[in-house]
Amino acid sequence: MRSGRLLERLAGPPRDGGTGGSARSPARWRTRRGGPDPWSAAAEVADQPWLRGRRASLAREGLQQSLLFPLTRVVTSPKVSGADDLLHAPQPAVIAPNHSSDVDTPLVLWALPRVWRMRTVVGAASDRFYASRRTALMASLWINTFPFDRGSEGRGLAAAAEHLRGGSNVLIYPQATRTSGLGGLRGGVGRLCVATGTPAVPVHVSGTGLLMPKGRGVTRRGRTEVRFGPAVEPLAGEEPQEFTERVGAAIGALAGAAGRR
Amino acid sequence: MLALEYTPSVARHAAARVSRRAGEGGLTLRRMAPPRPPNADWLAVRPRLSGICGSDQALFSGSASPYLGTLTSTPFVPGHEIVGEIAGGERRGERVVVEPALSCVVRGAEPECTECAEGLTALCRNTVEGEVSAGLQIGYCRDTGGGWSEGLVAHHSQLHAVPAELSDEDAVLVEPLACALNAARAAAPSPGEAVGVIGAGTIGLLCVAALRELAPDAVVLCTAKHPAQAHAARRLGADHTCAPEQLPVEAARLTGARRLVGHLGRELLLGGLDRVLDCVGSGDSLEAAVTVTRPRGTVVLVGMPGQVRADLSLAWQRELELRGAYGYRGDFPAAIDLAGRLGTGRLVADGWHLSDHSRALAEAPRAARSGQVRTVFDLRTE
Amino acid sequence: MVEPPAPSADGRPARRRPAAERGASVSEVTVKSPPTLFHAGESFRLERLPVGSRVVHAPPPLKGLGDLDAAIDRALDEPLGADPLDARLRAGMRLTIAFDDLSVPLPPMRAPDVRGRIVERVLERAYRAGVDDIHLIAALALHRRMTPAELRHALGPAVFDAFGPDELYNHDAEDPDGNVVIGETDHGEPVTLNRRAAESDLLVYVHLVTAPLQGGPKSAAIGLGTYRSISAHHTTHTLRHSRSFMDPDHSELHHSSGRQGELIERAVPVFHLEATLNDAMYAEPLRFLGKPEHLWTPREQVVFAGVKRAVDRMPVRARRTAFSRMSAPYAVTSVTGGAVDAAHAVALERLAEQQAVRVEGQSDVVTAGLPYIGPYNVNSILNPILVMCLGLGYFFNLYQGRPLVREGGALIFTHPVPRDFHPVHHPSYIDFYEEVLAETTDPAELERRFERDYAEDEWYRHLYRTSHAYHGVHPFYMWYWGAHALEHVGEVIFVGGDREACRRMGFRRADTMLDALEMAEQVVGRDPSITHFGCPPLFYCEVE
Repeated sequence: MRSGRLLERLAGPPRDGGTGGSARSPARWRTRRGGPDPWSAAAEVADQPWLRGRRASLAREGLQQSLLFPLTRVVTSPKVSGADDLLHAPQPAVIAPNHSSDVDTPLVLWALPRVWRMRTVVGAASDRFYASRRTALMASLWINTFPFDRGSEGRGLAAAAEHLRGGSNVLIYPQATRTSGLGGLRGGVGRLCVATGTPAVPVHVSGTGLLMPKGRGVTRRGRTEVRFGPAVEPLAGEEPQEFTERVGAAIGALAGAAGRR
Repeated sequence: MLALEYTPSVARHAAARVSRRAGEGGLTLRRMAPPRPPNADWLAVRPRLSGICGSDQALFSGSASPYLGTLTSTPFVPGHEIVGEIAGGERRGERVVVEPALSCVVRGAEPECTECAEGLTALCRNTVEGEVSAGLQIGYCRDTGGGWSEGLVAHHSQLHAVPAELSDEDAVLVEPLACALNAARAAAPSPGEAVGVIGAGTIGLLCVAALRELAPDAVVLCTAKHPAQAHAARRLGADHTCAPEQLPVEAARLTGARRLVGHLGRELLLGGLDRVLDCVGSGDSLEAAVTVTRPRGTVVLVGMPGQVRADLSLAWQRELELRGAYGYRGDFPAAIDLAGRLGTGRLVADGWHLSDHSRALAEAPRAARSGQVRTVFDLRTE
Repeated sequence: MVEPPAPSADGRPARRRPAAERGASVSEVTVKSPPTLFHAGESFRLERLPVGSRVVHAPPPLKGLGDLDAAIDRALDEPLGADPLDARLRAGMRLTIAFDDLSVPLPPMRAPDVRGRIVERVLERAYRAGVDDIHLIAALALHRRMTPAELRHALGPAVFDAFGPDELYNHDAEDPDGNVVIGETDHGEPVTLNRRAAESDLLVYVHLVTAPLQGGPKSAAIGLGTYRSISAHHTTHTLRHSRSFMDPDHSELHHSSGRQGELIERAVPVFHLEATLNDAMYAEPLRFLGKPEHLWTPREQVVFAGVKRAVDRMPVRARRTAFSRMSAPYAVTSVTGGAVDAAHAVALERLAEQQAVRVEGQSDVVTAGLPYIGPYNVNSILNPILVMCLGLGYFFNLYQGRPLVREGGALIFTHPVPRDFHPVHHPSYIDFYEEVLAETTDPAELERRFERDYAEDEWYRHLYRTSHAYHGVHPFYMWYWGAHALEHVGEVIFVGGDREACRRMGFRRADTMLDALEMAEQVVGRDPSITHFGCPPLFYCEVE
């Protein structure tokens, strides 16, 4: 965009003569339009399914073990409980942690047993992580994401349901965005689990909000804890809202248990 | 008479095993005298279409079991899925399918063995006695000839008339369809039970159709590697299809079972399918079958397993019933009727001439990827 | 006047259509604007439009459905204004599935084609219900028969392999035994239908709606009709009174064929399925061609320059092959099923969301670049008559309300208009060009004098039925398609067009855009208002 002259000079004249006119080319292009630019909202990058392939998964495993997880551990000095019992939780499942910091995702991924991690995709907000090709590739490569559209049309949940149907676990945050505290649960996880009949694994992450608050980088090192609870299965005829509340209560119970220590 | 004759050779067998390539070791095309009927009960049959069965391919790739080798007499002409016409006598020109089992009645063995008396002719004990040489069935016996030729002999009790409205293509699959009916009966699903069929080759697809026929209320899940196979399975009556690696996920979804992923990524279901028909017969398919079957469920071995490596500890822990399904029991009339209704000819690819046998054998595994899964030799002259 | 989107019929709130909002996709050329991209057959031109010209861009592609299979299932299980498909299937019935031919979408969709996905789901239901007698028919009206490879692409290899040539075939409008007369509408239009479809217990019609013209009640009447029924409304008169045929409410063509469709609905139970696609016409690395020029990144500019220089140096044949290989990574934006009107209304709404662009006021001069492909030359050649149809038939008519160009205004297209005809696909076009256009270019006159001879010619009929040729009458329809534009505009100029071909068709030509604009000034007056219609990707203007 910076150089308007570049295009005309490179492309050359039309095949059968025509306006060359490069002398009049401006150094910088500007446009004047009558309304808001529809393209600014439509710049999202598509899903990158090839980064979920076998080779890419191996590369990811290598990158995570050598760089991402050691770094995460240095920053968060984490303690994990309940991960061993995940062996007995049914898959595919929705992994539902509370969300207060960007470091939550690598931390939870690290805390998951390998057989879970290798089968888990992360729902990443499409408006944030898929806004440019570079972030989309980075997120996909490092933490195995798929674009999760938080719009009102349920496109994100449909994509998540497709992953569940294919047998992958899906990590999505019931709070939908980084929040301090455990409140503000949205209905998405409930709708997803009830519609697909998959259980949700409640996860409580504590301490990360202080290390890497929303809108800032890593501020300091500190202690964190990740606790996995037993899977919550949707009951016959249960409303999504009730299920969401049960998941919220399960996360709350994990938080309570952490507090008692 | 042109015929493809198979002469076993230990060296070739070993070479094929090592190279793991589908070859045609020991198969030669030559002119020979037509086989002579042992007595007046036998009729000469001229094949019209003759199928290439998975067990035939196993013969050349070296994965056939040496145990079964004992029950053959060499050299023989392979081919036991045969539709032909009677070549002489009063019934000359009549179209027939051949029920290939060489049982007591056919061999003239007296007295009849227990299985034959029950009608289980394919399980006859006297397969090494009587008026023809040893051999489980036509296509493994030196004296009868086989389908991959221009002539064979068969006992009149082995011949089933083909109704005029049934095409040759439909009829050539009557024999495997009879086997499939037998396998479906062995699985014996009750109404509402969930049945898995692993593999969507000819036998897998026909098992789906047979299950639909015998147990219309069962829920049938079929695994298929290729989209065209999945489509064919649905057309023949499968309620659900999935890729082989998706089997545990789908089975868990269908039955409400819990799917656990354990150490080294081993998947198992708590609960699972009520019956599973393994129509592949590899170690992987057997292991998959065992992991998705509910306790005290049944796994039916339909595809020939041969020598396999499989972890069967769950079969032990869950007290599974593992049973084979090899032949048929008076299933031919029902199979002829069903073949007509299903239009099994859709599953048959274009026929090959005997002289193209090496290409036909090379093509057979590839054809299985399309919707037309069965490769045949076309011996019709017109 | 065009109303802002009102709540839809069933009370659901209308979605926002950001691209359609006032001026959002319209920009003005300033001294700092980039050059404007013009398609010109199998090449591109960069032109500097005068300062103050308007450029109407295609809206950005919408996001596709998150889970297409689930959406198809929903369309089948919860159809609008009709019973679920499962309830209408029973063992032993005759089921016919008709689908749109290769004229949509343009360019062809990258595999798997959505038609195949939908057909597969429908078949699944049919198998489960025990339906055995199933036929699949390409509803191609008077278009050329699809080749096996094209059918395979449209339906997917699994469906193609499962249904042999006896159960999966092209509609034949000239088969004397294969079509039946359904009746006559109250306006006297005869209605005929493919016999198999007419005698079916259920006809499932799979539409792909890529322009407001397509889908809806008219489809069965045209797609599975014959020359007799189609000629009732493919006339100069009807098309001059279809303003435009991209606006079903104001299109005489739609009224007439809709009446025929109603008669068919009464004779045969029909289950309609309509799918809409987004505008993602270009695959990487050429995706930027769908964006306004000022958004091209330096890398994309270099790619464009490379591509342009490469195609300019390629021989014609290689260029054509390269372009016809392109397939589009469309995403499906909606699948709707049920009764024809209800389903079509939703499809049009979703289409408008993608394609409707509001433009204020008409212009004296409208410029547009004609691409290498139109509905009738997939895997073929865009001959001069098809160029005319693409420009004056399609591009001119992509409006609702009023035409983008004022009455008596000038249209400037860029296209080489080569005198090249595909001998297999377009045999009657060659004779139409040599015999008919040499005599007259007036649609009404050539309709009166020549149409019947071409429509009933035995040789063309033979080629249509057995080869892959368009029907003998098809070039006439192409010419009628442009009848409204020919009446409306004062001048049509092709920049870079072949001298002889343009003269034969009654158009003018120019070497450069500057020349063309100067020629246009002589017709419309000095300092005309200029609008560039930035299609493709396909969209239409709601002109106020």
